Amino acid sequence: MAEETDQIAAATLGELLEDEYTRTILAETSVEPLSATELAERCDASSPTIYRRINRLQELDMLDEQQTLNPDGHHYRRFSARLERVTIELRDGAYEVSVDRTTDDAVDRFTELYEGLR
Amino acid sequence: MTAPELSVEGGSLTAVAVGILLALATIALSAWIVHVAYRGYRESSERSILFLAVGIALTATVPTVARIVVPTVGASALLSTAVAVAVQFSGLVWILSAVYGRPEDGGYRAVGAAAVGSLGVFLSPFVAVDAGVDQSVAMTAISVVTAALGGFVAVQAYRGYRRYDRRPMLLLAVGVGLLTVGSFLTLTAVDLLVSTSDAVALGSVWGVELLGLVSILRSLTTDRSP
Repeated sequence: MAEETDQIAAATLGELLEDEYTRTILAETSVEPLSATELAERCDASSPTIYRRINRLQELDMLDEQQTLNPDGHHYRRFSARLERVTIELRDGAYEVSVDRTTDDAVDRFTELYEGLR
Repeated sequence: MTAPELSVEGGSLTAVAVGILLALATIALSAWIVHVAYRGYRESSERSILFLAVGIALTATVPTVARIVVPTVGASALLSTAVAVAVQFSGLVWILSAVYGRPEDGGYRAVGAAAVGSLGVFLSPFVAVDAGVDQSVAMTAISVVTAALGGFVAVQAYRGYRRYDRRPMLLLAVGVGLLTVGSFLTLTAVDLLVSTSDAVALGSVWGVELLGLVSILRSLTTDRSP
């Protein structure tokens, strides 16, 4: 997968990864896309707890979401981690944090489009 | 990819019956695939999905049907191959532009590329034959180009299956692979075995393409909910 890099504050990142649920969400969704319900089960936490983490992760662009269709015709969202690597550099008295994220490539788009067609 | 001349004269009655059955099954499956793809587009009404639906229909159904209908009305092998391969080429361009392009912005460039590309594929064998190139070489050349493009689409679909473990992507990969690379390889192999009759050649290619159509139809219909 291709990558893109950007910078966020070291404090933001620290606060983000300090949280156990957030770490679990990122870890689990880096393996396979999961819904909020599935994440709540895996984290052994309530839905509101999970949604708060998901929203925060999405604000920081660490999670991707895909719409999926249920057998009964309802849409539900599944999340996958975008975080790939974090680099922290201490240079001239300042922390420089860069985040590498995965980006959608052709294979992702093909699969997603085909799911939409089916 | 290349279609031999449809001459079942001398073939046994069973061979003729099998041929007609295969032809009818191909037409029925093709119609079904077009219907399912259209329904899929109607449900989403997204432009990229329209491009994908058109691409799959053009890649899978039109060439297989054209390969049956065009020789039946008495056209030459060169013409039926050129039609089938050109239509398939444009279908693959539609699929690739749905994936790589931005159909939301209109997609006129993609449509133009598909039209110009398939016209080029359609005309080039005639130009080549006029210039003294052997007919079977010309047919093989355009078939190789389309088979390569189809192979690429099949590989991308297969990678989608590997990454997301989605069975429909595997079936799509198998279907597109059989319809492009598979039918080309079958025809080349049959061509090399000089002893086989035209009926056998035609039958085996139709068989491979029928399997490809079944695979795509299954891919579109089974396991619709994740």
